[in-house]
Amino acid sequence: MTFNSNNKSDRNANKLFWVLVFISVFMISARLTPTIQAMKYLAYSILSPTIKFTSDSFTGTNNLIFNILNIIKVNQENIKLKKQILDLSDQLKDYQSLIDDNTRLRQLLELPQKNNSTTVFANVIIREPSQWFQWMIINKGSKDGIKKDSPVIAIVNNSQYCAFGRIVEVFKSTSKVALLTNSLSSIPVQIKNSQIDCLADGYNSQYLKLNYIPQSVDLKIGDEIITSQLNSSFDKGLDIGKIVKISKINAGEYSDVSVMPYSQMERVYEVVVLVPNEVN
Amino acid sequence: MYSFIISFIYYLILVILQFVLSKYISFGGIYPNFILMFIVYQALNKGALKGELLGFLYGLTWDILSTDVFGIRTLTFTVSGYLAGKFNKKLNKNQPLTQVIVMAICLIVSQFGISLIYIIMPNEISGTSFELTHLVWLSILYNLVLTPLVFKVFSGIDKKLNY
Repeated sequence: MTFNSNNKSDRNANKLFWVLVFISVFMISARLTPTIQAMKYLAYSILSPTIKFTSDSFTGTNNLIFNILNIIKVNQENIKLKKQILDLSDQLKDYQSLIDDNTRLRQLLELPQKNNSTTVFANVIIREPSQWFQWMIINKGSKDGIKKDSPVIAIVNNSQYCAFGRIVEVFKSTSKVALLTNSLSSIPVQIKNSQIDCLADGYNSQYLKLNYIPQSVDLKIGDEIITSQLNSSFDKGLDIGKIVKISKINAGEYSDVSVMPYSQMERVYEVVVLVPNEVN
Repeated sequence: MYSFIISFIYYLILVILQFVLSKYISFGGIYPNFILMFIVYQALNKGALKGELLGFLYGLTWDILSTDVFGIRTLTFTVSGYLAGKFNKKLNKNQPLTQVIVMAICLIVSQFGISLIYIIMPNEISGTSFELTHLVWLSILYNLVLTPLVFKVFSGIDKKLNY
């Protein structure tokens, strides 16, 4: 050492330094002897519990903080995912609605054309709840070629064409449709798979009535009713509805039959108007 | 007695800081050597006698708690404490630059001392090896960057405790 000792403290420090260096070197050289190892082990046994306790405390605290942060994170993720689920659910509903619209419109395009008539697709724009079974307004009028008394067809169950009503008033861009269930409506019909023709009258309710059917006619609930060939507006064989109720009148001589039109079984958003072509 | 209690509290805190909390404050496997910083700080302020005694005590504790060659840090920390103590009256110890230079000398002496012992002793005896890798130099640099801050903390505590 090159440092000069100027006072007693420095001299003591120098002396002690060499003593400590000697002890350290001795410890290094004798570190593998059983005595030194035993002393190290003893000292370690005294010191280590404090270290272990502190370490465990910090690890525990750290884990606790980590777990709390994880819970917060999971909670935030949960909120985020719930929002995503809601958004996706809304999107799914939109997609389902689009699929339904698409299917309906595709079927409208595949509608077979009646001879000597032009098909005009229209959307229902007004259908008042108080007059639900009587009439509605569509978004096509005289400028689209719509004419009074043209038959109106609806599509139900995504595939079934059925008679729905007829045009009663025509405006420039809209038309008024009287439904089959309107009390002013009366349409020649046939009971499917039989040759019985009769009239189906509207009653401003969801049903049509077939009046005075002879008792001899074999009728069952669920029998289907179609348009008759006597009908001048609709083609023969177009679906109308099915029998839901049969009541006997005049001492059982006749039956009154209630028919549920297919067009009343579900919402109708689009219709097809069959406009007769002009005959020159 | 008061001084002894404060020294004991310092001892516990530093040992915990060095051996328990080091994993939380390590930076890319490099962590501050608070014990050597404290030895150098005390040696600079109180002289070589206190520096070498603290170096011996903390070095011995380090050796007991580590699996390294027993006595290696006792020796290097004692030498570091003694060297830093020799600058006690020669330099302005409140200057951050002085603190960094003295700390740098002690860190280099300490690291070279450890390397030297490993070179002198065959590997089969020491059971491990030590090289002056770039990690050691980065560790020295990291400690030097922290030195003024840590010394300021030590100084603040000393003033508050009148230690």
